Amino acid sequence: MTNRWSAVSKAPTLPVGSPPATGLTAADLFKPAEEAVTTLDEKLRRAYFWLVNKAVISPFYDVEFGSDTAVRFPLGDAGAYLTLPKEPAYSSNVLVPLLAFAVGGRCLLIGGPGRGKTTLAVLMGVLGGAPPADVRRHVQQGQPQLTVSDLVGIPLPRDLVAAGSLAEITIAWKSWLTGRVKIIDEYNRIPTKTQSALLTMVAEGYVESHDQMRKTAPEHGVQSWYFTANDDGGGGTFPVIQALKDRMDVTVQAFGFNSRFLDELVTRVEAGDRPEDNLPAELVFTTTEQVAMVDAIRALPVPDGVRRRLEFFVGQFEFVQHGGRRFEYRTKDVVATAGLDVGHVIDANSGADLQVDLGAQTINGISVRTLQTLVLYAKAVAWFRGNEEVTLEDVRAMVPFALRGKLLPNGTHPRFDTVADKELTSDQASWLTDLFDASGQQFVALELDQDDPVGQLLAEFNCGLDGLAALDVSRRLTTIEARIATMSGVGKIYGRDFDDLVALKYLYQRYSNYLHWLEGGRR
Amino acid sequence: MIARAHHPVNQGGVRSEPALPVVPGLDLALSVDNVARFGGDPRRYVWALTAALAADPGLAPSRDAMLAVTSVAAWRAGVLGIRADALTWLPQLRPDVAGAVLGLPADALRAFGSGQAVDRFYWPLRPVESTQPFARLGGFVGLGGPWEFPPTEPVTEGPGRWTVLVGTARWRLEADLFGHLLGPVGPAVPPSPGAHERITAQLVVRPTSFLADVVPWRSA
Repeated sequence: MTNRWSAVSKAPTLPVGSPPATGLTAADLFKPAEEAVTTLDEKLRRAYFWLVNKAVISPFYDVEFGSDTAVRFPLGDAGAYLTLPKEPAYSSNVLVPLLAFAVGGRCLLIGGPGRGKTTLAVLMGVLGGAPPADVRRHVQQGQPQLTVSDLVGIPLPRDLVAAGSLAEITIAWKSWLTGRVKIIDEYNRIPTKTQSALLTMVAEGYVESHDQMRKTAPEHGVQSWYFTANDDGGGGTFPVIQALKDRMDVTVQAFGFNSRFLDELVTRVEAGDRPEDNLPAELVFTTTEQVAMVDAIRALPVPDGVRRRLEFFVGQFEFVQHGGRRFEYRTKDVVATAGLDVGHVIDANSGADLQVDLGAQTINGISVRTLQTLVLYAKAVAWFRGNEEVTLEDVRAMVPFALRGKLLPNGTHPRFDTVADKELTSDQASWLTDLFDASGQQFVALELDQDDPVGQLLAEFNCGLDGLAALDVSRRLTTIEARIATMSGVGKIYGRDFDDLVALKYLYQRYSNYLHWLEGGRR
Repeated sequence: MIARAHHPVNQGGVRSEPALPVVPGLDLALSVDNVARFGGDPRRYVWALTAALAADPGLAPSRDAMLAVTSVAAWRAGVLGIRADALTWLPQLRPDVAGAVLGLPADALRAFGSGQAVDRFYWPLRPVESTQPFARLGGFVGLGGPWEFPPTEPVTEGPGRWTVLVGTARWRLEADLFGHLLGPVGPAVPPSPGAHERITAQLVVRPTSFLADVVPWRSA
């Protein structure tokens, strides 16, 4: 049946190549245009366009590409700009949850009540092939009395009376546990103990009750999690345990309603229908398709140049000058685990320019888990855009969503006191993008794209030690010492140098160990 | 006056909207769509077909003859990719039919065929010493063209093929007398033109214009 929901974007959604400049014949004039094969990325794009054009009223195109060619208009007197990118831009509160669906990830949707967070999550469930009524029924509503049994199921009362041991108790597991898309509404209203049970499910893929275990991650296939919360600052009925918070791959802000689209809302009120009940069947992803989609996304290459930029960015944040005595211990994590205020320790560093040292803007570094997430979502958005490999813009686009709540601002940094940047304290997404851009500018200014001595030393080492003569090893050891001496001679040290120095020491040790072995063999 | 991309050989244009002839066994409507898809002008294509059938109504029953007509008509309508095929079919058409399709007098056809074999911009009706452009390509995006910046740094790649720098991106331009194709330079390198072809035109760009002019070759 055709209705106002049923129109799906025509394939291909990306521009096709120009017509051939040679090789056409008269017979080609009478061949029908080949039907574009709907690849999985094409299907995901069509799903996105259906969601953003039909299902969710979200005219906020904040994930932009091609910033170098965008037109900018200053607005008001507070430094606001409206940018009009030439390349396609996307609405983050649809795109990011959709990417979480594509990679089988965990997405936190934040925003005030009535902003479509749950609707969007339900749509993801329907996209995964579940009937809309089931998806709605399986939404777990966070509330202060939610127990572990409420969440996962109860032991059968008959067994509780008759069982001689825990092993004899049968648990009536809730059916939502094995769904491909799991939705937890208002997770910051769930009691701490129940949050811990949730953490086991999210992190380990199983749940335990009365010594019985049930796997929640599908044996074959992909599962995605959607959490909603109306507060991201630690509020809510119960504070969210940090470990659960850390498991959120991406955090995305649900936008408000744009009043210029009230006519669509009126139509929905009059029709009394819901988008999830009208998802076109051709957009539903089968289990096999989802598995293939994850494989394709993971396989997308990250070119060396992009990886190097990301390395440089990530390397800025772990180091803090007065964090410890030994060089390797001068990290924010050492300070934080000692129960000290990282902001104060950063403040104590009078030797470096806090404006230049990007690491001074954060109170922590980027964890391995977060970094993996950033890489995975950069691959996902690159694949979604039809790229053959990950570009710097793909990474940049995902930075605010993958690092939000993970890379935390240092509130005592002078930047946040200036009038021009005051708003960045509330707008983490813009601050994170700004950090990434500033890191890129430093990378270019330091000409690391042309000359990367530490990278060259690492590449040389990665060629292997087999057959390397003692003289060559000694020569390389001298080069490493010379490099460290150069960095030492500068007199100041920034976060960006920390990883390089640790890597240089690593190389030095590997070479000297090898040299010891070589010399030992001779004796 | 606003200058736009065009091929002067088409000057005068196709003003009337001729009806698409019906030919049994050939889906001409599909070929019209394909001409547009391959970068040609569907109106000029229909006009050329109509002219051919008017010159020789007996063409319609012959599938081969109609394939020849459609190929040459598509080329005349600006489908650059069919140029080699059309040149193969051209000698098989009666001079009055070929002349009607191309818009040439029948007695100029022999010169046209032999000239085109070596010079893709050859047109018998063009004065030999003319310095007027064979084609004007590109144009400002705000006026329906493809470019946001004037083209610069033209580089000749072969007969009828150049690249230019537009902003920070390099574009490839391919053209012949009737049509052209433009697009950002991609990883694929297009095949070389025919071995007999000579470079007879050069690309001229100016800092004050968004158009790139294909003009007769002048040695420096």
